[in-house]
Amino acid sequence: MGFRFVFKTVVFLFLLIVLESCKDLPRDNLFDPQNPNSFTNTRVLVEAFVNTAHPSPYNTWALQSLHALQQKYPHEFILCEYHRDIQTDTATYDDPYNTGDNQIVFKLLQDRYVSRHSNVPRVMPDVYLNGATHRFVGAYNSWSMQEQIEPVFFQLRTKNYFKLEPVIKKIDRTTLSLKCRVAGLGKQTVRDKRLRVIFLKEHWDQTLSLNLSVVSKLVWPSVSVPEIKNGSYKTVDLGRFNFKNWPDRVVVALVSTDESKVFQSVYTDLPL
Amino acid sequence: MIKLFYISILLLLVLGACQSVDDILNPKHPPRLSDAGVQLSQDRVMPQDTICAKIQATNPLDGPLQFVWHADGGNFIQPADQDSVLWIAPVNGGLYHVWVEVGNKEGTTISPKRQVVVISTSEPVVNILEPPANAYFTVGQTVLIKVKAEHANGISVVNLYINGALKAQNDGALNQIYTFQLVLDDSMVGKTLLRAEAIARNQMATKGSDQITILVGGIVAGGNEQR
Repeated sequence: MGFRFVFKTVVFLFLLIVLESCKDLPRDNLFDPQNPNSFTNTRVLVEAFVNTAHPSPYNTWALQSLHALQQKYPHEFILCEYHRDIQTDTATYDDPYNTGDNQIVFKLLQDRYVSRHSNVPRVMPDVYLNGATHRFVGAYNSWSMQEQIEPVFFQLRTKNYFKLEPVIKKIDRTTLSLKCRVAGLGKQTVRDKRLRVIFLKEHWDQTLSLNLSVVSKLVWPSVSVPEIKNGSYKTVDLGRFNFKNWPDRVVVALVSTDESKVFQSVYTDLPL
Repeated sequence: MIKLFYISILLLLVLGACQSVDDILNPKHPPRLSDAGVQLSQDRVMPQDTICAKIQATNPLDGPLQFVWHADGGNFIQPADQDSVLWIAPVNGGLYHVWVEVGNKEGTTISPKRQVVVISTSEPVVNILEPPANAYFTVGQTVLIKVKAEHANGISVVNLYINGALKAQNDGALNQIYTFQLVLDDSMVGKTLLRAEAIARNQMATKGSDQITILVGGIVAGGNEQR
């Protein structure tokens, strides 16, 4: 009895010492929200409004530029192609990678971006980096847009204090549920932000010789994020989604309440 | 004593008044110049050309006239104290003036200034101020082009060429700046050459030019437009 008591006491004291010493462990993990110096890198969300049905080469040139950049920077350059129709009431120049039910929300997003720029109206190709601030319109050869975008892309690849981690659960062959852990790194509080959800489907285009990264669904409006104090995280429920055509990946982006600015984005492949 | 003082003052005033009266009664008689003023053998010359300037003057008094010739450029061949003179135009083109002062013992008369255009052989100086070189635009946009053109003889017209083809002309400048508005179309997609050519307002019609390249991106207008 005496031995057991002594043994329990020694174990208890040992655990106490271990726990106490754990408090002194430095929080030097850069992805640890409680580390005041934690940060991650900005991934650049590239949203391209294009039409591949029109006979002019401008949209093809833009896509060639964008895919060249995506190949060059596969992890930092998240390409989302919003394939648009030219006219709603005819089949003239209807983009083959577009489903009609997406047109309204694609237009809403593009109009939101275009409204920040008075010099050029809604046209295609029309490309935005991290929201409306950086706009690139038109192309004059297959590398012109790459030359314009690359310097801005480098400027945007800075330290970032928002971390996003999608949590995907496949429910059945056509349904998935999506959540996202959102953390404020360093001293950054997450406030007045929303989460944009974009599902992508890859399509190999024989004519363009490109594996297109087509937006198959855009959640509009985006999902509100509750306030998250710096050094902590919350899991935001983004909902359940049904698909006739199962998408290949999902992009989640932290955006401003007016949807015009993108602060951080992340993509992940969906389970087959 | 006080009376004497007042009388002296009065005498002084009377004497002063007499001088003015003398002027009225006996006016000065400076030389008179002909209405034609200075006559030039040519009023548009090349740099370093020599021209003859003459003045017809009469002297209402006895005695000789003195001629002093002036110009705001170039040189006079001596002697330059007669009623005619030889003037050598300056090297630099531009607008110059020749005039003469004719004097006699009672005064001087100055002729009106006569203009002489010295044709500048130099090219007009042309600068495209806007847009900046390699600026990017898209089809459908209107580009404001500002061209500064200067020449000693003035500019008769500024021509705007797009990729070698004459697109517009402008002969009206504001502070030497000629303005054009260019609507970009599909034919300009790519690197488009803008060339501004200024033609001087002289017999030689000397030309000067400046050129820049702008970048024009092609677009498809609209997106979900209703017909």
